[in-house]
Amino acid sequence: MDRRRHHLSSLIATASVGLALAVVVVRRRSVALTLVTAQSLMLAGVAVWRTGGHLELMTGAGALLLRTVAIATILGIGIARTRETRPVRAGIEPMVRVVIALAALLAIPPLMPALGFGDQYAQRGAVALVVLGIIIALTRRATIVQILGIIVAENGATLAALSASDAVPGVIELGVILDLLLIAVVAIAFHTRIFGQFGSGDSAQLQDLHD
Amino acid sequence: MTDQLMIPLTTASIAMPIVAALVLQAARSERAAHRLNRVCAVATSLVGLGAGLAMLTSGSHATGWVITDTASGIYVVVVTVVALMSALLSPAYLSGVQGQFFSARRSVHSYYLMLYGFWAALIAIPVIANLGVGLIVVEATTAASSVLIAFSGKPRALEAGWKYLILTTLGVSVAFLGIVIMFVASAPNGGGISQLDWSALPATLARIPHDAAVAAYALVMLGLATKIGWAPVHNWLPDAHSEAPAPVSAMLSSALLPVVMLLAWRLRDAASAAIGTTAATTPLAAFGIFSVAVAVPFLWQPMAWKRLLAYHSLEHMGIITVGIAIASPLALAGVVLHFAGHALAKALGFYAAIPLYQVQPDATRHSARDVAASSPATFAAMAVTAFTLAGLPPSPLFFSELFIILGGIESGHVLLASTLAVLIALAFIGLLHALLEALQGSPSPDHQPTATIRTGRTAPILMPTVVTAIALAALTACAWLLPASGIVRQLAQGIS
Repeated sequence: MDRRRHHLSSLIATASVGLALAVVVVRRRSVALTLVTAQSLMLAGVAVWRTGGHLELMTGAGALLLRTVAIATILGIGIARTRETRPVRAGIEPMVRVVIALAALLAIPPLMPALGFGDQYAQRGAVALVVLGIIIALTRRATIVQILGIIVAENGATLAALSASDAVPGVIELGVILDLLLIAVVAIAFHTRIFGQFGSGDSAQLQDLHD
Repeated sequence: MTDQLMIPLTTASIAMPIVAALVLQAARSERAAHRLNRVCAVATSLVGLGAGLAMLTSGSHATGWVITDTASGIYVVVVTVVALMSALLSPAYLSGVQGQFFSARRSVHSYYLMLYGFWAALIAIPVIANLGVGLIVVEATTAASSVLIAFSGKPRALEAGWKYLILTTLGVSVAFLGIVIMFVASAPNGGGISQLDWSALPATLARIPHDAAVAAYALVMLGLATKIGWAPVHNWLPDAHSEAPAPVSAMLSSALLPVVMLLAWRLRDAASAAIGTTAATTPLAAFGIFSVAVAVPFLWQPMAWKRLLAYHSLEHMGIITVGIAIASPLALAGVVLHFAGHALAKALGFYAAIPLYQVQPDATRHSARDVAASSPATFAAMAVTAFTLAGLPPSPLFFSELFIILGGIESGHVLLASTLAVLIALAFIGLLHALLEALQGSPSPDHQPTATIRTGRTAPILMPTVVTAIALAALTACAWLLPASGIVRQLAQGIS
């Protein structure tokens, strides 16, 4: 059973990291949204599966599922309402971004000490997702993709939480989910204003402030 | 005061701004909203001040989700005062600007909704008894405050709000990973939310393997650092503080940064036993000194008034952080004095930007010139701010910096204290140079004041200046009593 569980855990962690790595590379916002939604749905599915049908545990898992659908809808509408004439170019070429991401993945997660997860795949996967989320937000210029970077980073914490059954209390899970929903709504409002102001959701146009 | 009274009073101090935010939405016009705002601000602050003073005088209580102690009392009082002044000065700001982030018809209503929501969160953070819930509220402040920063809808404001939103949310995501580690490592089969109560946190961290506890602590601290604006994760700070509406800049600088720092302070106290005092304190000392060092070169440059104040926030948060890291009674007296003095002076400085920009619109981007001649009341406000922040005697910040440095030397942190002293001296010289040029220098050839001062425009800054100057003088007068006071004794015993 333990072997099967570890196998599944490594599969989920690897798939989550793989999807995040793909977001580092893809050009189109809609493709990036699809990848992150798939990642979030996979984690929500695992959360539902882990409840084992216990009703009292379904709240957190259900909220995670609801969050995924809500954020995908909000961002999807945001993308539909702000059609770019051509994909926003990232300041850094895709190959360079991949190299940066892989270098960070090779360096940072293995450096972390044992964090008490008891499951090395979950630990490395969680740290990798937070690192990749930060890289996506900082190396991509499309505002929608930067928002997706935040969601990838938050999925890192979600993956960590899923590694131990009901270790994270429902209040914290719900609070984080509500926060992320709020942030997504505010971020899409910003994206819409930026698009209205500049005719593109390209954050490179926001470079007036410096000393 | 008993728990039975303290909990409802504390709850009311958080609920009042939320009620006010909702009541203000019912105002039929902008004018009515401004009038209602005055009533709501005074009523809300009376409850907040009552709660804060009760916390200060009734010792430490931790019941359910609320912790009320000396630290929360100090923070609630100062946040309430700053939020009250910001709310009262908001009509003066709003009369001169057309917010474009929201629809024009509901712009003022939306501003008040966000402002009072922000106020509620700022009161809640110091009294929440749980690290995890505290972080969730910190994240919630990002939503309200980022929209307020971008209120004008101008490209620079959008840029500042966007940067703030992305960077601080990423930071909090990192902190959440630290929180999950604490939960998972301490009780893999679930131990309840109370594990992260400030009172339970030392035991929770003690149950975790040492390396995991250090990693979790470092991740949460790093997340908080992005929100506090400690260097090197401070990139959003100068932009957000300089582009936000002046009343909001005051709340960001004088209330939000120190309030989030209180979480870092409580966390340090809670983690010291489990991970060791050195491991818990070193990040604070490093962030503090580095923040002051990064701010110094910018304080030497003439720059736009609010941007200069923003770099000052970086410097002063650094000084307070070093004081918390030293943690001797004398240094903690300095921390309390510095927090209160900085909050009052910095808030006044941001409010002074309201009439300043009406007189010199290009002062939003360039250093102000010849303010004394063009607007004496604005000059007075800027002078009170500048001389207080520079730490010139008899400013309370002179005594607070002295307390922190002497406290450091007295407790054996000689290198830390002397490095801080050198950096403060460098900042002082640079700031004086930049400010004297800004306040009294001749207008540059390309600069002409674009509007004549009218009494109606200068009036809003005169009263806050007088009140703030009196409050700062009172703080100075109390300074010598503080090191031996019960407040400092309780802080020195630990606040987790």
